[in-house]
Order: sequence, then structure tokens, then C-alpha cells
Amino acid sequence: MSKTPFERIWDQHVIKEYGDGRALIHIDRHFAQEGTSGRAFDGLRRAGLKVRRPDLTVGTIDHGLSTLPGRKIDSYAASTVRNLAMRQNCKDFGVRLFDIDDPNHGIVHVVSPNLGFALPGCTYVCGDSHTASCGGVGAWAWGIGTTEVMQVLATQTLIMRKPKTLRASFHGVLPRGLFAKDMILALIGRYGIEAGVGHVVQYAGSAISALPLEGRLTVCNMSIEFGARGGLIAADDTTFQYLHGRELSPKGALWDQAVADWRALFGDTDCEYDRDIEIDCSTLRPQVTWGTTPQDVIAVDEAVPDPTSATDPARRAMMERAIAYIGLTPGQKIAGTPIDVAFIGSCTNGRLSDLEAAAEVARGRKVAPGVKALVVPGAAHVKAAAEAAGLHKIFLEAGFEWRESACSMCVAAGGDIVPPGQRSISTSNRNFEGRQGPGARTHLASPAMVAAAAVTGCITDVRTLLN
Amino acid sequence: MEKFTVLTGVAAPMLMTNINTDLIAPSHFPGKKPEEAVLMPMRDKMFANLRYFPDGARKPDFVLDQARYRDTRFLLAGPNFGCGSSRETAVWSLQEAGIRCVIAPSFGDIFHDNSFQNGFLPLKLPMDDIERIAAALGRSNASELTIDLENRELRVPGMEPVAFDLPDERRLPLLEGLDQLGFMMRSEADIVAFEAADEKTRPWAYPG
Repeated sequence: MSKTPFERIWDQHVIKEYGDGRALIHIDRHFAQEGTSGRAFDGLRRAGLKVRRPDLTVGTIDHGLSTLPGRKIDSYAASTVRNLAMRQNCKDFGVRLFDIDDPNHGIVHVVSPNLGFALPGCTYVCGDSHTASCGGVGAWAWGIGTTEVMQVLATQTLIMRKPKTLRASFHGVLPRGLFAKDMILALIGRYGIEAGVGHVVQYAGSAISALPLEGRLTVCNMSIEFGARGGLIAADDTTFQYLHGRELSPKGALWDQAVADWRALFGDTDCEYDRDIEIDCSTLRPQVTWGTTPQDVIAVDEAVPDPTSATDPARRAMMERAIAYIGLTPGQKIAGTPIDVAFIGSCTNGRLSDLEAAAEVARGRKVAPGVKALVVPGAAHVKAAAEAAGLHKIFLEAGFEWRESACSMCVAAGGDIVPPGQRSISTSNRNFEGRQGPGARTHLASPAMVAAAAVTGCITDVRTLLN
Repeated sequence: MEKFTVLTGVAAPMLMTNINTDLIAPSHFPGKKPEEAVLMPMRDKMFANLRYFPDGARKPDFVLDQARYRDTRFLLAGPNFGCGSSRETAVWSLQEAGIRCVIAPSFGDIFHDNSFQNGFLPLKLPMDDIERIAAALGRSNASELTIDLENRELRVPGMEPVAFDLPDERRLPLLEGLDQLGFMMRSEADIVAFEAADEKTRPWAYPG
């Protein structure tokens, strides 16, 4: 048995070991966002420090931005100070900023793979828990806190404890009408939101290999909802084709050497993991959450579970609390539940293929009366590509709003908020109490499922709307 | 950073499972405009969605607003405390409110690391112990316990001391109030040497 890809990446990045389980790890790439880097830059200023490797950090502004057409950096007053500080910080410290009018502006985890900034076999960090998204290209990518952001800026390193390895194998062929989002929700539903704690998850199996790169980003994105800071997928021809020729990808002879290195890194599959789990995709049905954690998930043709069926009292208490918050009844079929808001976007599902899947459902249909339906492309390049393909017309004709890119309603940012007591179906990653606004009720699902709910006005099995 | 050695104070029970960082440090405040909420001290926004109804009215039963828990320094919590977002404001909010330690069976990974970076102790104990401690404190007048990091034990009135594990590489920086960045910067020569060798091995990983 050989080392797992993660362990080989770890070994390649150890600068020194401290003899107590900790190691100083070199960071290849760092993406700073305005929400979590302000205090880190302030800390550098106070300490009289520079950004040690401004060539290995880039920045953007993605959380606190209005998504309304024609938005400016100060259109959402609550975030203006922070947004302007990000501009100043990047200027003062020599960090390349993808400002709001830059063609590469957008949500960090959507922008980064598209630029070729996140690369296979690299260590990649960002002050955001969904950084594991970039594990979809084969990077060891993980979310960090603001103190760690300052440490990376100052030293290009982090002190890490080696995580354990967990392999999650997705077998079988994913049925039509199901997507990467259904795969990761089903995994979290089966194994729970703590299963990945202390681990780097490697997603594997035939259904993962078959996923296009954007779907792989979606699976890895929700690693943190599975408890894991990092999750990755072996880089393969799909990855190399995706990354080839991107703005920051290696070029020429360096590209050839990189691909050879990546093949060597990921080619050996006879590895032993600390834990192995599996899921069969061929029998999955579209997934939708009923509660207030991502593990509170069922197939769309199932009923809201009864808390009295839980044997663990703590689990029962959580279920009762979740059902009270979400305003459903145990035993009630989830399909047919009326919704008020439909949100398509976020770092989980704000990419072109997500918008294509939603548009296929929206085409020739109308958003149901009384439903507010938003499409927020995850980045400027996604918006441009969608408009070039005419997707915006499909959405606008159906009655969806077509917005500028930012984090938006995933985290009740930039003014996009679900009013108290209203029910939202959302392509985002967290259905926590208050996440989309105080008192907001959130159901997580795939973009196709959200579009299906938008046009029918209630939670609907998208397969009934597909030709 | 403030040292963490032997601390005595009020411990409040919040035995819910999965208290995530959105709950600890929400991005909105019920009943207030975002531009008002952004100016509020973090301690006032802490747990706002558990503490207030969506219209901003105070919930009468929130534990930290009860008289006996007004000076809470420690929280007793259920599994997976601090799961979710990486926001370090979760730790900073608790600290601003005077809290120095959360005792829970398990923690979200990022919150766990963020805590140590700030001299805040995320202390792992089995849920059974936490429930016994909560019950003993419920019977006491003061709800006070002592966390002795030097001797790695918890002292609760009416109970035998509860020993806990914490490796020295976690414990010593807390005891001394050490900031990790200073320690890391002493490795500059090693970092420079690593990068020089690594750039020869993996030239594609370094921008031209």
C-alpha cells in the first residue's frame, strides 16, 4: 500500500516538523476576501510587517456586495467600510485585487479554479470555510480563520496537525435529474455532519470520475458541511483539460512538467485510508433538506421524519427543534410544500453548469405567482458565459431576477435576505437557523430542484418536469 | 494574549447539539437594519437568533440573560460546537462577552483552531461528564467551577475533580499567552531554504 495523494501533498509541503505532531507547512496559494482579511491586514500594519509573497496571494470582494444591476462598491451600506478597506489593503500591500468591475471578479471559490490559481497538488487556503471547493481540481484546499490569514500573509506558512484520511466512494451511475449537489447531500445525510471532523476527505469512485469539473467543485465545496476542513478529488484528464490554458495555469514546458507531476501524484490508487465509506448513486433520488443542518436531508418523494423515531435523545431534541423552526409536520410529504423564495447561486452552485441545469427547467415556464426567484451567477465570467448562451433571457422571460455576482442570499449578504418566517429553497450550502436572515426557513437542493420549485411554487420532484 | 492558567467563574449550560458559528456570531441582528447591526459590539450580537425573536423582541428564557448567568465565563455545550463558517468573530464574540472556555464533547475543526489562536480554550469532555457537571452546578448556589490548566483538572462543587487531556503543544501557549506568529517567524531561514529547493522541484507552482 502506498501513501494517499493527500499524504504525498503533505510530505511535499513540510518545511519542518516539531516532533509533537505539528509541522510547518508551506502555502502555495492564498486567496483573500474582504470579509475575513481586514483584521489580518490591520495586524500586519500594527506589527510593521509586509506580505511576504505578494505573488502567491490574490484578493477579491465577494461577501458584502449588492447584486442589483448597476451595483457599486458602496451600494450596500453595511459593507462599504469593509469593501473600501479591502481595496486599500490590496493596494498598500501589493496584492492583486479582482475588483468588482474586473472580468475575474466573483465569489473566491468560483473565480479561483477558473483562473487556474488553485492547482492540483498545491496547498491552497482562504479565510472562508468553503475553500475546500478547490479540492475539486486536486488541491489540498482548506478554510482558515483570520489569525491564520495574517500568518499566511506574513510567513507563507501555517502550523498544521496532520489530518486523518477518509475516502468517500460514490459508486454507480447518477440517474438523470440528479447532480453533484444530490451526491454530497446524500453523503452528509447518511453519515452526518461530524463524520469528516479531523479528516481530509478524498471523494472517489466511478460517479466522481464521471463528474465534470464544476460538479467536482460542488462536491468538495460541502466538505465543511460534512465536518471536514479539506476535501479533494484526484486530478485526471478532466482536470487537466479544464486547467489547460487558463490565465494563471502553468504554460509551455512547465505545463508538461506539472501534468507529469500530477499524474504521478494521483495515479497510484492502491492506497490505504484511515476510514473508508461508500454510497451507491444509482438508487439516489433528488435530495432536499427538511431541517436546520445539512444532514437533515431526504429524497424529494419522502416524508419529514418523526423525531420520536430517533433513539438518541440528543438527536431527537435537535429534530424537534428543527421541525419547529422550519414549520413542517412530521410525516408530511416534503413535495408540495409551498415556497416563498428560490435562490440559485453561491460558491456551491453558482457556476455555468448550474445555471444551465436550472435554465433547462425554467425554459418556457413561469415563476409561480408570489415567489421571489433570484439567479445570482457566482462570478463575472459565469454571468458573461451565461449571457453569451442566452440563459439570462430564459430566466428573465420566466420571471427570475438576473443579478450581478456575489455571495448574496446564501449568507443573507448584500441586501439579499429571506424575510422572517418565509420559506426559501436554495442552491447554497447551509440551512442553519438564521443563515438566510433572522427567522428564515431554508431548504437546500440542486439548481434544477430550485428551478422546479420556483416554477411550481412548491417543492417538486424535478424529474417530473424534465423531458 | 491573556494567559489562561487557573480560572474560576460561572459556567452556563447550553447543551444543544451543533451550535454553529452563524448562531454564535450572526451576520444580522433581528429587528435592526444591517447598517445599524454592523456597528454593534460583537458581544451584543452574540447568539442573537437564540436570544431575540425575528422582530427584535427579547426571548425571556435565553440562558445567558438569566440573573445567575450574567457573569458567565464558561459555556457547557453539546457536540459539534462551532461547526460551520470559519468566521473568527465566533471566538471574538465569546471573548468580548467575557467567556474564556467552551466545554463540549466535540468542536468544529476551524473554530477549534481559531480558539487556540486567541488564547480561548475549547475543552473536550465526554457528554456524560458535561451533563453531570451541569447537574451539579444546577444544585449549587453560584454555578461556579474552576478550570485548572496547570494541573489539567476541572473542579466543580459537590463533585470529584474531573481530569482532562490537553497536549502540551496546545496547553503551554495558553498558559504563557503566547502568540503563534512570533514563533513562526523565527523559521524564516527554513522557509527561504524550502522555497529555493521546492522551486527547483516544482517550478510550475511558482509564478514566473
